[in-house]
Amino acid sequence: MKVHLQHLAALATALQPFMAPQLVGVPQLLGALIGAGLLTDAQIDDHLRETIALALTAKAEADRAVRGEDPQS
Amino acid sequence: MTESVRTRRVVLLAVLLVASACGGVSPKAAIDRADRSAYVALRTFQQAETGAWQTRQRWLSADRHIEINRRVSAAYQLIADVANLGISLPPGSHFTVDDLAALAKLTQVVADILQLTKGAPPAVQQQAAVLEGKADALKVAVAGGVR
Repeated sequence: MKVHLQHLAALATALQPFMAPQLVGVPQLLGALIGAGLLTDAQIDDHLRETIALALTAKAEADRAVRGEDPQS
Repeated sequence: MTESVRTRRVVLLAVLLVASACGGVSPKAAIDRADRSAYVALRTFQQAETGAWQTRQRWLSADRHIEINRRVSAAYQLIADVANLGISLPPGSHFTVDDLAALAKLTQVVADILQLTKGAPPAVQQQAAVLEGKADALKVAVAGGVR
């Protein structure tokens, strides 16, 4: 799916000089569609790993509060 | 309608058809977005609750502070579990019904947090309500990827 759209966007960009004036926005529109959420699985996995790291760091803070280790100022 | 406007509309329709034919967001991508949103909402709530604790707000007793943080800790673990679920999902695969179990727990934990914030200032209750919305959205994202 992602490869198809990326190829389509690249093809549209390459053909842009030969396009009718009404069609010049097509490559940009396809690029926006890709950028809007069509990341690779590896990029998504990296983002998910980042979420795990953030969640576990914040969890440690909550655990300290449960143990009474966050006295009021 | 001029020829130019008609052409633009046809082109736009064609591009939208191509995009829809390529499919929507994958289950892995949907989980990624919803899980991060749930994390951000939980973190915002946690910071509001910590602020209330630090400023000795009357609604927040020591016992309630501990109980809230017990749930917040559990919710973070569930968010991490769901992220791991997303990482382990092979490309093109879908979630199973069993994968929804972590989400059921998250729903319960968030309901407990809402209950524990009764009597809190509106700003804190608002953050808890946002958290509930994001947890629901995460549940929908995972359920949408079940086959």
